This record gives sequence, structure tokens and C-alpha cells, in this order.
Amino acid sequence: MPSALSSTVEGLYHAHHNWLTGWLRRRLGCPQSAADLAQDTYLRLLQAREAPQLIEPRAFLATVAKRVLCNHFRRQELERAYLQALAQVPEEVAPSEEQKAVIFETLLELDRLLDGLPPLVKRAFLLAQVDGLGQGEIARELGISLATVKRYLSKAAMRCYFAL
Amino acid sequence: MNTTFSPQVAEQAVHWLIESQGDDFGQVQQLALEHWLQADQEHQRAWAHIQQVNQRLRGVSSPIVHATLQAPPSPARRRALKALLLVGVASATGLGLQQHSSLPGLMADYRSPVGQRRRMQLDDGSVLQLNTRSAADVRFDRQQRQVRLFEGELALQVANDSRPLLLRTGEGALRLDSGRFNVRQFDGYSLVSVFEGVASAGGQPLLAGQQARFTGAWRSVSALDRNVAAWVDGMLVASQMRLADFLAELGRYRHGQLGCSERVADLRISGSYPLDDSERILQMLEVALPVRVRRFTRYWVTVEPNIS
Repeated sequence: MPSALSSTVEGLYHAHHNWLTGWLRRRLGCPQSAADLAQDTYLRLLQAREAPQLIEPRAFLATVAKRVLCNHFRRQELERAYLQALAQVPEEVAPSEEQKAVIFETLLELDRLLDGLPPLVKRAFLLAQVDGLGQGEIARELGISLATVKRYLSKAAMRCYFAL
Repeated sequence: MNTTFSPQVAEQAVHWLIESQGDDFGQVQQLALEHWLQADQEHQRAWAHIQQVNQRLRGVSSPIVHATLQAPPSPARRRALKALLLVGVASATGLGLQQHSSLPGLMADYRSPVGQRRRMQLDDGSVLQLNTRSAADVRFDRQQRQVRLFEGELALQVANDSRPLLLRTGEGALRLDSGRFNVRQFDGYSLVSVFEGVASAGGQPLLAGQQARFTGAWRSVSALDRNVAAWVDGMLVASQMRLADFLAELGRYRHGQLGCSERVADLRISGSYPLDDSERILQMLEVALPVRVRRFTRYWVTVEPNIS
């Protein structure tokens, strides 16, 4: 880790930690999560490739914290949908607690990678790579042309495999 | 593993992925893909990276993925996001790009999707067939012929040639003489069935009419069960098979989950069933056995006792 980066983050932490926790608490209504998300915000800063140029440190912190907060809300929402889906699974074939956690991590990551893609593009990708459906089948299922299926799959694949 | 790639290579790898999964991907395209892979190490790394991610994606039950990732956003989240957007959006580039966790390397040239079979004629005249959800690599050079089974099941008609044919499974290498073989990869071992010819592991032969588990050496050698290769003709053949085992076999050819309740698991079933229409097989089950087929979603089916 570049030392310029860690000293910048350390400086931000000392100067603005209380302010950031308060900022998060106002948006969450929960002191416990606010403290956790403040930690996540600094962790995320530490993963940056280079030290940020700080002109407005609080505006910068807020920008990063917003992302952390978005992820937090999204995670909660996915967790809810995931638990609902699991509840429908017959007991005999339900995954173990450990598998459940591993599957959820994969889902979170997949969701993050595919975030922002149009619903049909996402769906085409899941049908191809999770369900293993052929491209012709996907075209029929979604009612779109084969060329469109390929375009959708390429678009989602660039995101999912290469974050591009 | 290093998972950073130039955008050009990423784009090419994605192009090949989509092409290789296309319905009209033939031997000419296959060769072109191999050329591309051979041309640069970064190509191979990018291809392996895609296979690894896919391996992980396939490990997740599809009804759960669809139900979780395609749930509509809740009103609470929509409100929260709206409130956040009001604060204004500044850019914070370079933040938070995580890396994928890696799985053991996988680089399959040939892949058959769920429910489909593929038949390939190899350069030496051998014929390779892949059963449902299977992946294999073929590498022939001047000294030897190598086939590697990554997952699933293959049938191999080995042509006579001066070069030996080595078949690699998850457990190690087998040497196959000209003949006809069926090999299926299980968790921790592979099942090798010899219809014609000889398969050798560490100098120990497995003869025509025999089958055995291969774990690096032969285990539990027994008489050949000819039904194991019925899939080549598109059939699933059962003789006094437990219903639970039958459904597990049938489930290999379908998307999603297929199982049964414990109360019917030990019912016995016999007969030949065409694999291309697994829905019809399920319908026939209701006629042949005192069971009821229950569908939670299109991808989620369980067989239960018929109490009526």
C-alpha cells in the first residue's frame, strides 16, 4: 500500500470520523450500523490505487460513504429476497448453513458486477451462464433475435468477467 | 492468479466465449479458438479466468439466483436511493474494484451444455462424445494424444495410431489403446467402463467387459454395465433402479433441481427412457409409480407420494 494513501486516510479518519458517523447515522437511523459503515468507508478508501487529491474532504468522504450506503441497502434487499427464495426450497434439498453463506456471497458479487445493466441483459446472461441454456433457447424465452442475445451476452460478460 | 487483462484481450475472450456457446460452433471455429489461445499467454489466462467464474456460477442453484437477483427493488430502497442522489454525484474513480476469488484452473475447449450431447471427430479419426454438462480438452501433438475430462462424462472411440492416447481425469492419467470407452467424472473418482480394448493405469490393465473406479489406481473392478453408455443413443436405461438414483441421473439432463421425498426414494423403476424429453419421463413416472410430481417453479421439481 502506498504510504501517501494510508497517511491521507489516517488524516481523514482523525479529522472527520465523528462527522462521518453522524452523517451515516442520520441516513440509517441505527448507531451500530453507522459505526460499521464508517469503518467500511475507510476500508474502501484504503483499497484505492492512489491517494485522493483532497480539496473538499467532507464532500469526498460523503461521496464514498454514499456508495457504501447504497451497497448496504442493496445487500439488505438481496438478503431479504434470498431468504424468501430459500424458504420455498424443500427441506430435503436445502443447502447447509455454510453453503447458504457461500451462495449468498456469490450472489452479492454477481449482483454488484451486473448492476446497472438492463433487466433483459441480466436475464439473458443468467440464463446462459447459470442455467446453461443455449442461445436459441434464450432467444425464444425472451422473445428477441439471436443477434440481440449475442449482443446482450457480450455486454454482460464484459462486466461480469472483466468489470469493463 | 493475476486477473487483470487488457481491454482488447477481454473483448476477444468474451467474443470467443459467446461464439463457443453458440449453436453453430463447429470444428473450424474450434480450431480458430485454439489458434487464438495458443497465440498468447494472456489469451489463455483470460479464457481460464472466464471458465473459473462460470464454474462458480454453475455451482449456484438457478431458481435461487433468479429469485434473488431479479426481485424488484423495494419501495424503501427506491426512497433511500433517491435521497442519496440528491446529495450530488462526484466521481471517486479507482475505488473498490475487488478481485474475483480464484478456483483451480479450468480451461475446457469442448463443452456441452445441460441436456445436450456433442459428438466430435478428432484429427486421428477417433470420435469423442460429450454427455450433458461436460467439458473436455483435446491436445494432439507429434508425440502423443491427450484428452482431458474436466467434468461430466465422455465416450471415446479411440482410433489406432502410433502415438499413445492419454486420458486425464481429476485423479490422474489413463492410457487407452484403440477401443471404445466410457468415462464419467464423479466427486473424488471417475468411473471407467471398457467396451472394447484396454485401459491401463500405472501399468495395470482394465479389460474389455470390465468397469472400475479410478482413483489414481483401479478400485472395485466389476463386470461392465452396458447401460452406462446408453446416453450415446439418447437413452436412460434403468433396471430395478431406486427412484432417488433414477431422479439423480435424470437431473443431470435438466436445469434446476429434481429430487424426491424420502418416502418414495426406495421405490424401484425399470425401463428405457428417451433423454430428450425429460418432462415426458416425469409424466410417465406418475403412471408407473404411486407418486405425484410437484413443481415449485419450472426449475424446481420434487416427486412425492401420491396420497389420494
